[in-house]
Amino acid sequence: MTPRDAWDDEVREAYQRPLAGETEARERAIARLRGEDARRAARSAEWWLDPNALTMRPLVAAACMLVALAIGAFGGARWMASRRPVTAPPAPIAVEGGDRTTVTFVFRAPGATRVCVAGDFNGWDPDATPLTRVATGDTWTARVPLENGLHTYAFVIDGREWTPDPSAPLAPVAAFGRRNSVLVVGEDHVL
Amino acid sequence: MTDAELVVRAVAGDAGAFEELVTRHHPACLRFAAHLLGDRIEAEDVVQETLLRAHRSLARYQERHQFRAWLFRILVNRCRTASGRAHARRLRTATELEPSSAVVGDTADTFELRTRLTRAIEELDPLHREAFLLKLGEGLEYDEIARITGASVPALKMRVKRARDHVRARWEELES
Repeated sequence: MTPRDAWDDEVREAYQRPLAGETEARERAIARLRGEDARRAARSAEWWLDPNALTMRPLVAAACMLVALAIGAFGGARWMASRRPVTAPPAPIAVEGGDRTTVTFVFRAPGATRVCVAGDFNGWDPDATPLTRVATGDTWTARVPLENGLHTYAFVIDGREWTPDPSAPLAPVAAFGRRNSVLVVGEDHVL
Repeated sequence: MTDAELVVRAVAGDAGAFEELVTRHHPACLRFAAHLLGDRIEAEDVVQETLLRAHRSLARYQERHQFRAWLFRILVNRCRTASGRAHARRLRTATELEPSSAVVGDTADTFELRTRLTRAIEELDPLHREAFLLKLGEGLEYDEIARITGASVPALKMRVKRARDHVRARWEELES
């Protein structure tokens, strides 16, 4: 290492002399920092309203959208499941003899205030055939005389939510994508 | 209050603490950038950018006992970028950048000394000039300069020696 001598000190002395206008330069730097702080605070408040606040690659945006849709679908399915009858009694149908058979519909709808059954046998009228709530509270029943043969039907909850019978097979997709249930009534049986 | 204590306060949201750090270190930063770049206006801009970056990065800064070295590391990087810009400008205009570190307000003696120093180091390439100023100007130890510049200590010693020999010869020539 080169030994330090008087020349080094002379150079250092020249270098260390304060620059003219140093104080003003420092004040300008502090003012810029304060301005930046103020801008940052304003930006953070406006961020939620800024249409350009987020920028991302299209691929990342598509992936985020898919994740959001998946979360939405999962949440929606969970919500629908909570609205749907959870434990429908199997084959809720009783049979009587003759050309017509009286069928007992049984449906569980927690939280519902009105449940009806609508099908080809009542012209799909959502109010024509109401079910009666039984003592347990969540279960609704109705006894309906039907002609022997194949019928399609669905339950209507609170006059607006159509849902198929979870204890019966599904019919092919109906108009507007709605699903109905299928019921085959015979002289001495119901499928 | 030490730099480390001020850093802790600044991270906690005390704006005054960071301003105190600026007050302490701004003169050295400006002096270094002005001599390194040979342009006082550019130097002031670079120092402001350095302080802004340091302020933004303060929460992520771990070496709280070496604030000056950390600040100088940012400053050296900003100066290298600015030096590249100045070089590009020089190529475009094909003119020499006149050193403008002497400004109104210097005494005649200071002006003469500063002009001589500026002239003596102007032919050094940026890496040699950087090492020379950090060692002889700021008086830093080699291991500290190594952390700032990213160069090894032996390489820095070589750069300082070559730069010192060159500057000394030029200094004496200007003196006479």
